[in-house]
Amino acid sequence: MGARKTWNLEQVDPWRWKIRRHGAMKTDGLVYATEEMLRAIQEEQALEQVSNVACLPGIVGYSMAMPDIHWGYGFPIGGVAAFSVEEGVVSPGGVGYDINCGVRLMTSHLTLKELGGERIKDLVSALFTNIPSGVGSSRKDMKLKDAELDRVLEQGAAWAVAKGYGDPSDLEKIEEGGCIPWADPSKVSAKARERGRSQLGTLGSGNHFVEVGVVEEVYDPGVAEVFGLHPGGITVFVHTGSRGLGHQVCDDYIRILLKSASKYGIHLPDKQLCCAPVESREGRDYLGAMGAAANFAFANRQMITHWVRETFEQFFGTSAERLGLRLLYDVCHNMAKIEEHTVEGRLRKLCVHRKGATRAFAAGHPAVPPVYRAVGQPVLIPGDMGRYSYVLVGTDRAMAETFGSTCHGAGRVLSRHQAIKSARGRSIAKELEQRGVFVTAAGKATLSEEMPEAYKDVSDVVAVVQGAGISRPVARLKPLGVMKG
Amino acid sequence: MEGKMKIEAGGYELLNHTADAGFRVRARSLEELFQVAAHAFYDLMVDRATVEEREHRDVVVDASELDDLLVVWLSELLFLFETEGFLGRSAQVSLERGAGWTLHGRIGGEGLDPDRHEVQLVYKAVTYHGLKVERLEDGWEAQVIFDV
Repeated sequence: MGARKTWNLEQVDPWRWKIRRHGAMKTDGLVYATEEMLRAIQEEQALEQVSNVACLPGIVGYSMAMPDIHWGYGFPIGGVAAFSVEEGVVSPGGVGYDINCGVRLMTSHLTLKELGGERIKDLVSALFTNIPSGVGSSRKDMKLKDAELDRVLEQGAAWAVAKGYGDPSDLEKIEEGGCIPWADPSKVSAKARERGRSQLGTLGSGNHFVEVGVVEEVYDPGVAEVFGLHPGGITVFVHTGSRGLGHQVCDDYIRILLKSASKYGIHLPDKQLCCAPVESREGRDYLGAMGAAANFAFANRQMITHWVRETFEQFFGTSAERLGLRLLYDVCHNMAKIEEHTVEGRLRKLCVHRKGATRAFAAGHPAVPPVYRAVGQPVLIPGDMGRYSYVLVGTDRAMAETFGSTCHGAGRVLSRHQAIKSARGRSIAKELEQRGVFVTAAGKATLSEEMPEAYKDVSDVVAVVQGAGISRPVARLKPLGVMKG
Repeated sequence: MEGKMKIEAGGYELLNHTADAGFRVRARSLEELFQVAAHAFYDLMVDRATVEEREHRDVVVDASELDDLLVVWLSELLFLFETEGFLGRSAQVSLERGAGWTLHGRIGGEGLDPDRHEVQLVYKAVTYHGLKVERLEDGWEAQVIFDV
């Protein structure tokens, strides 16, 4: 859709394309993609969105897009942009509706032979029974009162651990320790609370999932060893976010910031890019509410992790500890963070937006958990449900070039509508089963919308970030059984 | 947006948007425009014929501009679904114009019953992208896109 334009595009190398500054842009755009990917990207308005982001005040460095870039609301999905805390802005459109949507990965001592035959089906069915999922999923057994919800919004994953969901040692293996310290629950509206109240501990629908997989190939044995990834080892992915609470926070603040943009004299190329200065009252309020929603998401993933462990315990008749079911890491891929980065030799405090992009800090960075600090931050890149997923590690090049950021997944190629059309008359579940992947979904349409061909091949995406040097592959995982929302 | 549609007044068509879902509505009056938008909103979620009018919800929303009013109206319907599981079968709308616009809506419907209602789609939010409420020679047209 939309008119095709000839962008001021300049190929830098096989993996990088610059959109030279034009019009109201304050900086160049930088897109990580192959020539073939770029052709598809140009079909959408995603490049225009990269240019629009470059028009916002106080942007530092490039307006960037990762190779899984596709069209989004305001920022493209796959967009990364940093703004000066003193002169720059924060924008809900640079975070997305699903605040702190993210992924966590667990490893185990289990191997393929313990999940042979029909066992994977039974395991996925058990997960499906134990983890609330699907359209409008809510929990009748837990409707949080305001004071308790405040604690969730303040403490994140630590709240869940204190309530008995998981182990205190999980916390150090979560981005930010599973808690955004500047979260301010008082900035979360009554409506957002109402939407979130009974949704804590639910997977949701759409592209959210729990996936049991196996380590298929290891590329970097040294780092894989540190991460606890061994060929043939069973793994579990959890992908979900802040549910209705986060969606409502985004919605509320888009309305507030639409007004403040004109108050602060900020010209908006697109309403969905509404923003406020980071240090303005409106900017701080949004960051406080966004942090609270992010903590809700951390708690959500922590609770689901606990039910994954419980399910495995019931299924294998032994403790999660004996099964070695450990959290490898938990990353966010829809967030704005205040971070320090060296820009042109100077240490600067920046508001880094990653929307459909993952933090990928290099070895030695103090934000990388001590257990991984010698090798770098684990980066979790789920693919579509039929093919494979990747574990990568952050690099120095990412620190120097992308504010320590990389891709987040495969990226859609078909709209949901197109996917449903192309799935008509087929059984996606059967097709996947022939490929050795057992899937189950709460909603009928979900499997069609989420079928493998609706996504790019994630290995193409990973090849770009590897080629560009902004992260390094550690291992590839193959899905065995997927529970979709 | 591609080619002008040929939808009848009081009707709507779906937009095949790259990322998500949306529709374009046409109506003879503003009231009808907001009413049909509500019907389209529910049609995308569920087969509306399976929803019975067992209870009502009254909502009042306001906004300074008509396009913003469309977003807050549909967002209110989304809120009712997410918090109460309330699905609408029909909506009645009246509008008041003061400094801005105020919409009084009455939605007839019932709570979600998984045995009778198959929910196809749930929205995360009603977006401002491509949002339009426009006066035509013989009525009104609106367009709205959802994040799903």
